[in-house]
Amino acid sequence: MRFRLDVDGERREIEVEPIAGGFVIRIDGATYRARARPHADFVDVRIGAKQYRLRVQGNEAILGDEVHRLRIADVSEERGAGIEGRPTGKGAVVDVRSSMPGRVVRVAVAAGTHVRRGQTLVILEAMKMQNEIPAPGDGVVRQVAVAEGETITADRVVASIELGAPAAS
Amino acid sequence: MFRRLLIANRGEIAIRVARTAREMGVHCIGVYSEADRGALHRAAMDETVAIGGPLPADSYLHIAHVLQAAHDSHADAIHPGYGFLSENPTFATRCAEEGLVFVGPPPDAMALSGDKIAARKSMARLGVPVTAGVDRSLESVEEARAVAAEIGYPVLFKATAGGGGIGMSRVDRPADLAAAFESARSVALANFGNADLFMEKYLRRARHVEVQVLLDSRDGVGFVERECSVQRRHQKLVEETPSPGVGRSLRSRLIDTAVRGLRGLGYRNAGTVEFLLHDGQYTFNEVNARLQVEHPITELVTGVDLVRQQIRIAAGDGLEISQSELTRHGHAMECRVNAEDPIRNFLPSPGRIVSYREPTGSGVRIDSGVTTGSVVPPYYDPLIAKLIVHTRNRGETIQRMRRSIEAYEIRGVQTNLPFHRELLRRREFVHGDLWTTMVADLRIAARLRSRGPWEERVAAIAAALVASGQVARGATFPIERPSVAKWALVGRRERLEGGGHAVSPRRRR
Repeated sequence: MRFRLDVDGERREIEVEPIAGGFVIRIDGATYRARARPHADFVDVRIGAKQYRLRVQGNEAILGDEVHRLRIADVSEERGAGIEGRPTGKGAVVDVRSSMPGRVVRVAVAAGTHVRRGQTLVILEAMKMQNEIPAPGDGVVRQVAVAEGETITADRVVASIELGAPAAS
Repeated sequence: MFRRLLIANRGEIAIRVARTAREMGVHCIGVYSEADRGALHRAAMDETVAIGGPLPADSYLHIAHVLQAAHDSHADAIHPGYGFLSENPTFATRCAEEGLVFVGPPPDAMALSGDKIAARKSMARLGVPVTAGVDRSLESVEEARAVAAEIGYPVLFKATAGGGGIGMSRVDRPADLAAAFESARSVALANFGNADLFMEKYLRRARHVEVQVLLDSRDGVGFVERECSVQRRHQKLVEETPSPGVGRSLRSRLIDTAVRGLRGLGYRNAGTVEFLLHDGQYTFNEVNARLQVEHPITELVTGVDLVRQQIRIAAGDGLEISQSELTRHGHAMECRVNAEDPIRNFLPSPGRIVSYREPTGSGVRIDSGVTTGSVVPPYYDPLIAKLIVHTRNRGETIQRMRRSIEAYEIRGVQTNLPFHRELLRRREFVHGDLWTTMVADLRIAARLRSRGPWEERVAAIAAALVASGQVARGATFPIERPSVAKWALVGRRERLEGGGHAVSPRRRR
């Protein structure tokens, strides 16, 4: 199961996979193994040696002496099908999103460009570091949604790609 | 002494310079780009001036805008901090032409030290050992190949006009040389407007140590070395002083060499000479003609305020200390806190800091450019703060650093604190066995699985939401069974929502 969880205005992409006796929780590449026991008023969660007792009320979670404001969005049952997930199926059109905010320093493709998996679509610069946004699979660029020089937010669609075999080059 | 100082920088270093300048009774003028309208460094100044758009080239690097701000605010001196215009001889020259005192070296000494080949030659002439290599720019791949064959692989291409580790490229085999030559040239051209390269022998498992120097027109002081071997992609991450790899006799030779070398360049003000240590030998690496990021560790072990000395030297008041008066106590270490996610290959993580809490206690110094509610813009360096600790010896310093990392809470952007936590656990680091490629060689970041206490709490919240079926039920939750007193909840909610960005979401009862 995947969803977006906002805690105190800080957003995380969460992936939860049930395993025997608990869950594996992945947050942007970090991995935690948790055991959870729901009670009437609260849930006991154990991660490693740490024990957490949580009360969830309305849009707030009360954890120890702290209150956190929560929001859940984009719940999906599929595994690995979200934003950075592996696309499936020929002909599927997938949106490629930026993983960080930054300035578009180069757009390397245009609508109609045949691309291979891993080929650079856009180069984004943030904090003096350049990051290449690669094609998630072989296919054809349907649309490029950003322009060079533009400053974009994280999670913005930069291009969409129709999956399929690229033309022989 | 001048009365009005313009600080041509942002973030932690602008705040740090203002701290000392204000103590000296100097009126501080800050500058800010459009992206820094709400930045913390503005609050540290007596007044601030807008200098242009968010991109560095439109503001902090824009010489005409910075000089205009200095004129409009009647500044009589400019402190450049580090980065941006700090090592730009054109800027230093323009300041002089406009009657502004530049707090830094004279422009010609800066130009000499900024030209890597010229600096190598000057040092060699003064009898300073330099790394094997060539003292001319390489015109062709063939020439590079001939030099590499002569000095032996691995070799390192360096940009003549380079700095900050940019434009360096290591070559292990003759087959890789041509491609590395072309790519290093294009990187150098893009970053420094000059494609010229030279070549040095690449030293495996070398330590990077450096000596801080202060020079006025009469006297000079060299400080105990700083060890800066913990780097990633030539960017320093942890610095400490003294170096666990330098003994007394090497130390005095390094200090003597650094002071002599800088004086030979006609240098004045604060500068640093970097060396590589290899097989018990030291060779000159480069000169940094500015105040450095890691200067606080030197301040902690010697009690000397380096910014104060910089300002005094620039104002013609001279050094307050001499080499023989200099004393040293204990061991200091700095961890650079960058807005980068070490779990995702140090992906930049700009954004808004929703909660910020610093470690405290004796021997803990934080030089920070952010606080709760600060926005970390994507346009600038990822360094947001420096965690610096000082104790009697290296072992205790590591312990205090570990404790301080645990107590440092920064939420809203990812930081490299989990990397530091892991590094400080490593046997090699604890034993003081340090070398410049250790972060990559030991795959320190690759072993990270979790980000720390706060992210674990997010995981616990996520687990609780899934286990209780809240996620499956949809995006919002019905309010049910308020077992906490309603008044308490109302109070908390008001405090959470009422104060805008300045309110920390963490609440104590």
